[in-house]
Amino acid sequence: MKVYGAIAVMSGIMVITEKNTMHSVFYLVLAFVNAAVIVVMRGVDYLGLLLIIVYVGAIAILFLFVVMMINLKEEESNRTRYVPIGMIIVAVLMYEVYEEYPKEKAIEREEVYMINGGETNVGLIGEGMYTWEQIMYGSVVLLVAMIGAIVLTIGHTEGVRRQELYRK
Amino acid sequence: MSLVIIGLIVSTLIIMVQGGKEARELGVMSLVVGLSLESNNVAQIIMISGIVVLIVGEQDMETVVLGVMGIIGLIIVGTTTGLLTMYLGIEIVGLSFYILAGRERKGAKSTEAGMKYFVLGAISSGILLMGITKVYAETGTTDIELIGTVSKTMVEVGILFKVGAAPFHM
Repeated sequence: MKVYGAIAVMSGIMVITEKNTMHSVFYLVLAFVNAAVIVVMRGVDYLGLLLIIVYVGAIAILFLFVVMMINLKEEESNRTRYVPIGMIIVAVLMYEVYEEYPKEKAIEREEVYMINGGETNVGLIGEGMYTWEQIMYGSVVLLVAMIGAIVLTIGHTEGVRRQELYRK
Repeated sequence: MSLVIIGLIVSTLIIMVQGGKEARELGVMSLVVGLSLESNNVAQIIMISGIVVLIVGEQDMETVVLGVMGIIGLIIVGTTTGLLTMYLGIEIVGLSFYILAGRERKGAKSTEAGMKYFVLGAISSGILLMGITKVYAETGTTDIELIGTVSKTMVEVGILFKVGAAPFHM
């Protein structure tokens, strides 16, 4: 688990230091896969598979398309300027994570099923989504994103007839 | 229920001052929505103030749709007790308002405003999510009525920052 964590952190650093955008997308995929492996090793198998399907299968591919479409040039900027501020933020966040880190032995993979009370992960997540949290509001977020993409890209050309709903 | 009545009076006055067919339609819509919603004070206040803003402001179809979506998000934030549902509501509000801020594509200021608002919103929702995970790690629940007072205050302050509410507006 420590090896996978180290690989994930290293590839996360490579994502932001790599000059070639395509290479940083590949390092991003590596970081996602390592995070999924860690999650599966902790016994949360469904979430790990979801990470691979959604992030590696959909989002990283979308990033690849975007990178290929906009054809970025390699830019030479002074990146060391923001290192001190970044180090302060990293220190604060690391302290926050370390505070919550379990001091006793971590939960083994077999124990998770006992803690869940015999339920599978999928069953517990589904029960939680529809009983004590209403996660289906996420569909409204997607609807707003769709409307927003249309609003931001729609063009008003002269001579093209367009519906004006308030004038009806 | 008295809040509903006050809101109805205010919106009726504004409709009388503003006039116009579209304002009247919006006013009727707000009355129907306000009466059909379950009476929760926060939801009523948010909905009525949002609809008043909509009536006073410009009447463009996309603006109205995005504004109504934002109001739906605010109603979700105001009525729920689960932190994750609250985060989804905040994301709905945020997405609608980023687009409203950056809508004027020709103007440089509007684009800049939308971009800056988006980056700030992304950072603050990241911090809010981290706070929610810490609350869950400490208390084992994401229900805002079951967590302790200190964490509750912190989460509420973060949410008020995010929606720009009264003590934390800037």
